[in-house]
Amino acid sequence: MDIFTVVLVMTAVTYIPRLVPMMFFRSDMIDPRIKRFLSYIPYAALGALILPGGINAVSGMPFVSITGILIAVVTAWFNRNIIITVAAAVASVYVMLAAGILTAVEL
Amino acid sequence: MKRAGFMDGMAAGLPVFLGYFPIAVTFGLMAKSIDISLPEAVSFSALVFAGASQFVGLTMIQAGIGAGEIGLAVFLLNSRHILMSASLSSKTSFNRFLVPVIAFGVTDETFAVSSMRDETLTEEFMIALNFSAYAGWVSGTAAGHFAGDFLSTALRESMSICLYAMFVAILVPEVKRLRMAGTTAIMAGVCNSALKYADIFMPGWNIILSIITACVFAFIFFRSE
Repeated sequence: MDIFTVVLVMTAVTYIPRLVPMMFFRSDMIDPRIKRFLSYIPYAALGALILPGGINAVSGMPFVSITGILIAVVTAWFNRNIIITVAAAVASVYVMLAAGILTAVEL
Repeated sequence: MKRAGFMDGMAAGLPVFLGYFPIAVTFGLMAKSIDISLPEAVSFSALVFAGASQFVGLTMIQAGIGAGEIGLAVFLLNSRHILMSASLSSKTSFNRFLVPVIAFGVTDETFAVSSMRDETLTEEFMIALNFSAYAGWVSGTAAGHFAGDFLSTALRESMSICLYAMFVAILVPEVKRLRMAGTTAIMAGVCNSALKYADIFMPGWNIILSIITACVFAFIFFRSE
């Protein structure tokens, strides 16, 4: 597939939702029910992005991936810094891979 | 009221730059791993400039899904920006010749940072903030594509958790604040897993159906919140 075609399509569908409201709408003009429906999208999107893809984050090693994600959850629970959470998850996966922990466990 | 200017925007943009860079490195690495060239990867980040959407795009390209379905999935994923963009413009009326520039830089992170400001937002603030984020994103993509050859396999494999850790890092603080955020996310995740297991639809549709299903449930059951 031509990558540039995908890039251009994605550019359009990313830019239009950012541009059009800022040009034509004001927040107080949007129906409150639509507003409420849209307000759930970030959470739903994040949930669908994490599961089930995250289980196979480290290809072929579901238990390493799940442990890494759980460590990210715990780290994020106690601090709001995205960088620290990402670093903790990467470090934990690195240690598991280097030491061979859980790497052979299959689902 | 005090106005947030250019230097305020640069200061607010630094953590966003630092947060975007490693994630963009992962994007550059992932792009390279599925044989996307450096110019393609950099133009991806330079033109699209959207975190999660770009990873979804890569995953769908890898799965051989067509541009139309990728566009639909990404549009749905980005529909939240309609509200963010509208909300920003309801707070401040930006110069209409600069709106196309400011709107280009609306991302989850820049929106969150700018809407937390107490001062009146200026065009200079928005452009400085968005440029910091953009610089981190594009340079990180190029660095990741280059560095792919120099990183060890173990490090590269462990960096594949980055994206999911980032999603978790954005989601968890929201879940602590709003119980319904967690319920909605879990509902979408379970739905997406079930759809993948059922294997009825093209993979591109699963995420769209899961998001809509979870939002409909949330809309019905969290009436009071």
